[in-house]
Amino acid sequence: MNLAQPWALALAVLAVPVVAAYLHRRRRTPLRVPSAMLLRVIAGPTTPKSRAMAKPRHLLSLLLVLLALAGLVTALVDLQRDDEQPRNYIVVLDTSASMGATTPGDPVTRLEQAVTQLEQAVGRLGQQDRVALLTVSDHAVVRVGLTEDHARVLEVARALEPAGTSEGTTAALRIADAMCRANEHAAVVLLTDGVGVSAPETRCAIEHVPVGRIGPNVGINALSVREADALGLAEVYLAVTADRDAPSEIEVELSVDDMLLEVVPLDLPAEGEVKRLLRVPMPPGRRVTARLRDPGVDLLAADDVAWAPRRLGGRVRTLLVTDTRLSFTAEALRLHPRVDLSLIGPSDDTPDDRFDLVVLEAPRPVAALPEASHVVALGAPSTELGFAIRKPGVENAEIVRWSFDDPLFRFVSFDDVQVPKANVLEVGEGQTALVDSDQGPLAVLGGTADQQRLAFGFLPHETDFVLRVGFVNLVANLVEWAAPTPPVVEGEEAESFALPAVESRIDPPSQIEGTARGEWSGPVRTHMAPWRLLAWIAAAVLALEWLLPAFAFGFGRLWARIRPRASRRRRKVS
Amino acid sequence: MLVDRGTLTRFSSLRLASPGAATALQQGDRRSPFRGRGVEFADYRPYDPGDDVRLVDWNVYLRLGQAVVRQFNEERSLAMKICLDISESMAFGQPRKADHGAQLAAALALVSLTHRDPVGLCFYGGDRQLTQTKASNLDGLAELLHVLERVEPGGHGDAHAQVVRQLGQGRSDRIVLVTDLLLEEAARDGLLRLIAASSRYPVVLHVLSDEELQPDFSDVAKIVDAETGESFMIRDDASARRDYQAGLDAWLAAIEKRCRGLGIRYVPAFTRVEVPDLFNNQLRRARVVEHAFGGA
Repeated sequence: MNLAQPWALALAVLAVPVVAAYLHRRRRTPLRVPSAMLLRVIAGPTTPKSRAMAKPRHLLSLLLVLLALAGLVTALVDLQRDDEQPRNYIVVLDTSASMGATTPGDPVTRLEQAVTQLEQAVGRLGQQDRVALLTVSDHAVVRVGLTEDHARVLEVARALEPAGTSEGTTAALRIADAMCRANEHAAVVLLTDGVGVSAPETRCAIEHVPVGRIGPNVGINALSVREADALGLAEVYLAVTADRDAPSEIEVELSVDDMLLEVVPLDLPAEGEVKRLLRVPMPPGRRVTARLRDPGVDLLAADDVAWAPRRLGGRVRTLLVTDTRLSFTAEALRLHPRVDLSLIGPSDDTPDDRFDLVVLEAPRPVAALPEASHVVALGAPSTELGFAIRKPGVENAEIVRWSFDDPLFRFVSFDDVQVPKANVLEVGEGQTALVDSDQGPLAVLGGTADQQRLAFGFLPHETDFVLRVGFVNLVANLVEWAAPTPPVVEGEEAESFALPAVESRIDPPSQIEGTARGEWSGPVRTHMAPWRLLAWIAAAVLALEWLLPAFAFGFGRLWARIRPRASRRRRKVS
Repeated sequence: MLVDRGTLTRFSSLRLASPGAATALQQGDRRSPFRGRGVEFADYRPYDPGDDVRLVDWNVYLRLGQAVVRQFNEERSLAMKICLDISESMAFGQPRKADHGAQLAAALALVSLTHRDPVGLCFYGGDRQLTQTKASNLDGLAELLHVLERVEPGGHGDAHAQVVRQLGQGRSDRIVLVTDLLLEEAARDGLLRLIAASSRYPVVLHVLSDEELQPDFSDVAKIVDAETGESFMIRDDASARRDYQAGLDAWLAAIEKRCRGLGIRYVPAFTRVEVPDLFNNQLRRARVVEHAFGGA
């Protein structure tokens, strides 16, 4: 047993004046009167019946008051068993977009359910228990440190809004683990629907309190817009994910600055994703918005809309170094509406201008290159650019992998591309292999802080790749890669939004690996009920003993005594 | 005893009611039975040597050849004596009965002196022998108040003897006895008969506190008389309060009846009623004071 509030023992000193007051009351019984003459009519026996009980009644009253005082003191010192030490609860609350999902027919979101669960659990905690609140979204945020002010925690939790992804979960759980290890009576509670959540290895056990139910959902997971030509045609890339029981049809509204542009019908599978590349004439505007039209049964509203900035790209100053008269690369660059192309030979004079993109189809010393932010070397990249050739002159290398999700290879496929002759490149420090063949890497991305460099181990015009539309797309992607960032127009929302597919797939997992599934009901402790009961009894006894008689017949007499004294005092003053 | 001087000015519009002729030696504005100097002609009488020759009616002398002098009704003041009980029993109550009585006495003195009615103040019932104080106009009010404020109740003296001693020191038209009358029946009756015989217009201001009218006997084991030291146990059942109230009512009724029988104006002046209210209600109804200008 231990005392949570030992200072309250000092209140026991109150027993001294209480006993003194009772003794004083006992001694008051003989009453001096101005004259006994009028009282003789009520003279009685020396020990009347009620007075015979007065002394024991008085003692009983004193005993009750002392008992009540003892009860109050005991309740205030908060006598606790050793196993009921104050505990620390570090609550990690998922506020990602999937927590905004609702059940059909019930407008309460998962986040609101989680806050309700938090309120119920906090209500069962002891006053000494401390609670910390961390939230998980794109980042981990410690909203409230360990505190006994539970109301503050709930106030902060109620103000949260679902947004973003669950990427901050790992960081949040590591922070929670560090806070948990500081106290042996601590626990980490994870309130999440589990969508996109993974738990790192922690020393403290994590109790996962699941929120939400499995349900159908459809959402927009990708939206990007880029200029297709100089005539106002734009390429819109749209991806919609469905997670339903049956295939369905849905329409997506495309609008620019709240002006409806096009309605795109999509056939959705039961579970899966539909991607669509649209070329639509699009007037310049600040923002392109895609919105699901009448999605039907849908748990998550946050992914029913996505937006992306629609900007007019700037010109891309491009220098092509080639030694052939007929260059496919030059033709592809000329096709691009935003390219200002310059052609030079390997031994021509170096231009004075600064370029955004330099494409080396023929070798040229680095010192003879103009200043540029992006350099692409085709064929045999020089070591001056930081690339090394592992195997020169490899024949019939078969491309087995490429980074298809990299923006450089959007709408580019290397399937069955014949490469009769290539140089296998070495992947140095800080470099990334983008295209791999059975012989080794054929494309490597690297560079410095000032200049990004991309090297291909083969010349496109020595392969059949130039005969495919993917080549033109690759060149277009290179132009986009090197394009300078257009200045942000005032008032433009630079940020784009499309809920990631991992958040849009809102089925909660049955178990998050590394956590224990629970309801956060076990560790909640309550104060010792007997002491609280005793405190209430004490208050009731005191009320009966002191307040009730005062209310019943004491105040009138008290006032009758006070009023004359007050008037006498006034007379004295005057 | 405490006197609230600030409220005394509230009584300046009152004056003592005169139920009959005033007999004080001091000239005033009240009708008296005495003949002498005045403005209202009363009668003629034969001239005696020594009479003021200015009072001889020469017209009657020339017509009848007999010297007569004119007599006029004299106007005198109403002499009042206030006897204040300062026995130990007057020290009880909230406010103290003695303070209440002192305030009554001070107010009565002010009412009298404002209209040049002389006032004598005497004390009785206490252990100490106190000399009485007199004042004939407002100049003497300060001394009266000073004496009132210095006197404190206490002791248990022979009320009858002390009153007799004090009454022998001058005449008065009206005696006002300010007392709680907490005396045994014989002593009380003797005192009432004494003031009834000593004055033509006696008044008793009966001062009782709430502690006597509605006493609280809870947690009381024993009663001790403050004056005599007599002690005894009392009943604390439900009938005790009723019996006490019945006894008190009978006692008050007996006093009022006895006063009426002796020609004494009995005025209850309980401490629960403020002194200004007493003057405006009980004392005016009992014709002890009246409005100075004949108003309501």
